[in-house]
Amino acid sequence: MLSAYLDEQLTQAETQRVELHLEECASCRAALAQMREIQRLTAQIPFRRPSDEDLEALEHRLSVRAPRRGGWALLLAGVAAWILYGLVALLRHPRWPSVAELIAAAVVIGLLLLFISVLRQRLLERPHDRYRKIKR
Amino acid sequence: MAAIPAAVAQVSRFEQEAEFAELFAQFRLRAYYYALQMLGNPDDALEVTQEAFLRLLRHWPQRDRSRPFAPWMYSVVRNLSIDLLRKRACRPECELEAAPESAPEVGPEKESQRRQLSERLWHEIKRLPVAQREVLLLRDWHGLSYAEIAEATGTSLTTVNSRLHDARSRLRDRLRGYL
Repeated sequence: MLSAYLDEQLTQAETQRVELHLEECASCRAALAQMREIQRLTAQIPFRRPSDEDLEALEHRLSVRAPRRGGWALLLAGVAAWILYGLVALLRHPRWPSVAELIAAAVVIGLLLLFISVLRQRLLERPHDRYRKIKR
Repeated sequence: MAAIPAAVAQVSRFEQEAEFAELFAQFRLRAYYYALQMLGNPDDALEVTQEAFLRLLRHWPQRDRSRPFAPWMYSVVRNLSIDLLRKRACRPECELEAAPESAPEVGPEKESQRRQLSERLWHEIKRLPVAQREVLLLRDWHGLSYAEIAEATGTSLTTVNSRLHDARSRLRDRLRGYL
């Protein structure tokens, strides 16, 4: 109850009860004073501040990585839609593709190969990733 | 009264990004220090801070805007730190800030005593069980209310109260000769 009294978390009635007890109990008064001192000292423990470079790097990594996720999602959705559209069109009207369609197919296949290479690299790095088990 | 159109009632994406950037600037050091206090290693603390803010950003549009940001942020940092602690089974050993070269208000002897006491206190805080240590630091170092600590640690007010009491009593016993 002394700890809650120190933090002013007690009801008015409880506070009055503790104060009455404190008036007649020297050991509780001493305990309260020590707790108050611990609280004061804890608040003043100095920890090493990260360097300005570290903080800037943190901000930079955050600003780079956040839009990257959205970009990947959009790119994958677009490529998937493109492939689906091409397959449906080919099945409905089978014919030799035009030059424009061949260029478009090359772009899609190129993006897919790039994605697969990034995915492969991630999977190879996965066993050494310290944060892979962390729930995000 | 006419209903507010959804497009007007919704906060725009630009405003959301600006709001997040402001909170990031305001809370990044608090998140870092909490991670440092939990993990003890500045590099790990920076990584956890980065992961925490990425996670917060991902859930930013769906968050409950009526609730304060701080407990949510602390809970994300806490979960990431605890996962890392479990994985490594280690205790924090982080360094304290180097003593300032000159302390104008107090003499060098008093400054040295204060530093020794600070180091001794941190040594004893590190020895506390994680559940007690985090509650003590969230209350006395970060200045969170009991309700905010309960939300950040996923416990009840009663548990926060009893853990704080246990932590302070334990520290009082162990620092008897210093206080």
